[in-house]
Amino acid sequence: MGCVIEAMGLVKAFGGRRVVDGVSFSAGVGFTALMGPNGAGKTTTLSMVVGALRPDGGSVRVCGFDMWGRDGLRARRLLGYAPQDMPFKDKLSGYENLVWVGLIKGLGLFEAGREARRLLEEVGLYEHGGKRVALYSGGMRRKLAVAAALLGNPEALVLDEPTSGLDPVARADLWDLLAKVGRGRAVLFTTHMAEEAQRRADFVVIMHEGRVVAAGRPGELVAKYAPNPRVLVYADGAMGVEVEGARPREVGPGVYEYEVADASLWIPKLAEAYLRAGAKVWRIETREPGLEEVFFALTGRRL
Amino acid sequence: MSQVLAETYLFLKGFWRYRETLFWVVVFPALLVALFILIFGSPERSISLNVAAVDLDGGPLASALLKALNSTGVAKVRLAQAGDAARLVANGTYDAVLVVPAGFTENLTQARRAVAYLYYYADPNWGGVARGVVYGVVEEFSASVAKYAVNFTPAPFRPYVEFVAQPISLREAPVEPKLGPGGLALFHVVSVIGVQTLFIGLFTGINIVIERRRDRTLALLLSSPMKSYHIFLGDTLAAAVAVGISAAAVLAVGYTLGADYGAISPGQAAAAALLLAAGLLSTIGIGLLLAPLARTPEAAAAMANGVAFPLMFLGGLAVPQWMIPEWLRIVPMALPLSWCLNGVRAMFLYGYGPLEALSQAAPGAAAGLALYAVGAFVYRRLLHRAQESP
Repeated sequence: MGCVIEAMGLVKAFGGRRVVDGVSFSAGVGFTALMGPNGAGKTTTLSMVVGALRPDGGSVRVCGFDMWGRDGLRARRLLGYAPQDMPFKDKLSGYENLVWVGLIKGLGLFEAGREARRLLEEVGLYEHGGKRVALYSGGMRRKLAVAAALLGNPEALVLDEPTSGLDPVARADLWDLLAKVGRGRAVLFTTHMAEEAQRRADFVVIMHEGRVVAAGRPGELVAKYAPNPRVLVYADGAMGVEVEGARPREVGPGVYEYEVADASLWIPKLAEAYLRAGAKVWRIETREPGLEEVFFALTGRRL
Repeated sequence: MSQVLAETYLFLKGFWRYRETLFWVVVFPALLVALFILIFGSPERSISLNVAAVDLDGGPLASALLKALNSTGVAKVRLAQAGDAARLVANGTYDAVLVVPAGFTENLTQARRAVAYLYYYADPNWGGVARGVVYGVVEEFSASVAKYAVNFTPAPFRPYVEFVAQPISLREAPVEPKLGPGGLALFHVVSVIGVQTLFIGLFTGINIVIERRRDRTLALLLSSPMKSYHIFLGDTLAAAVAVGISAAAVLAVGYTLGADYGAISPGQAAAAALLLAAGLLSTIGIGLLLAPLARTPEAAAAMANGVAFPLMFLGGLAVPQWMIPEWLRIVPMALPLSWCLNGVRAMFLYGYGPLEALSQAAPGAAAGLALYAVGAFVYRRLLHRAQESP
């Protein structure tokens, strides 16, 4: 069955304004993304999930233990948390920082040292363990934060914007690591990048203005909420050609977009229609909709 | 060049906008200089010596001498028992004791030289001041007696008689403190440890929550399997270790500069550690009581400094309490750390036993523990508030 992180009706208000308003979701073994734009309430929700911020309403259970009830300590013991900017002490080495976090998590000094060495090896920072964290790159800091979250061998991992600010190479590198360490664990992460949620998450919870607007597997969400695929025709010598009732939209000079139900059927039809109209067709491509389009369809806003 | 000026520009632009800057640049030095002038600026008001007199004569001139000593406004003369002079100075009861022997008045009225004895604490600090004050009064008194006698001398001899006349001979008997010449250095060692305890405790108490909110460590701690008192006790322990390291450094420097630890027994050292621990808890408690008033770590630091610096002097930690005007001595009386430090001084400087010192400092230590307990309550509220908003 594995560990499940459950949020039920979470509510949080600051200054009379509800920034999280009845958020419920469930994150089982695998990767669950809490996706939404900045200000959607993702980090506030996460803070309540990890026990750092007391909810005004609702409850959180981690592996069946009530985070804000009597089982709070057990729930926290089963959970590893990496905030967006882990408060590492810059003048301490990576190893020393991990030992510090290990002690916070209740490991003994020797155990924390042993775990720190093991995790440095696991996240690929063993050679840099003795270096001051101030000298770490952004990617190395994130890896160290993951190592810190893994201290105490938690069953659930909560990661706040784990890849924000990283370049594509470092991001891919970090996801390789997360895929490795997340195996068999419930991993809940926040992101404002639809592409990341779509590629990396098994389950996506879409948040907007403090509420959950949709939740499900990425494919299901796309199938349910996203508009039809688009076909783009790059052509010279003809204005957009209307084909079997499908009207073109000029999205650039000589670039015409068609919204169609099945792109594979429409590509030959469009090519033929343009050639018949005497146009020179340079290229035809399809654009499959993703979670970005799902979010737009649900909220009328871009991520 | 513009880069060099950039910081100055920023400072001047922000000067009136940041209260912390305004405080540190204007208010704090103003307060400090006011305090210094108030306490040390005027000797008549600032020095209050504890002088005893043993009047074995009982005659009018002996009384007149003691009256003259009292009228300085600096020395408060109390009459002590005969024969106790050296002991009373050695154990710190009095800064100086003037003994006027029997026959003092008779000698002076019969044109014979009279003798008085002065016992004072043998150090250049307050013992030296006490000696100087008493010496000055006796000299002046002696001169006025001589002048009276010179008036009866034939005119041609007067200058010579005036030159040699010294009707009162003051014989000095410096009394060594029980710990020997290392005593004064030891006084300062204890003082500096006390000051460190004050600063470390106050900063720990004030910053225990607010600094962690700033550096985001609090979220990490709250999401970890820790109970709230773990953070509290952890910080107390860290503060104790900091005081311990600080004390070790101070002791080492004191040793190289002549502080004498030879007479300190293990029992006294253990009692001193206990008293310092109680003092530290009291200052953490004070810091926690102030913590709700600080909205930012900068404000907390300003507040801690603003409280600690005056207390360093007014609390009798860095300066002897006799230097504090009598009306301000309520401050060390109300400061638990001061009681604890006095207990340490009683052992290290005056040779009190551990139990004697502990019982002397017990009211202050108990008040310190009570402050810490109240501080723990405040801490819980602060932490609860921190969990309510990020």
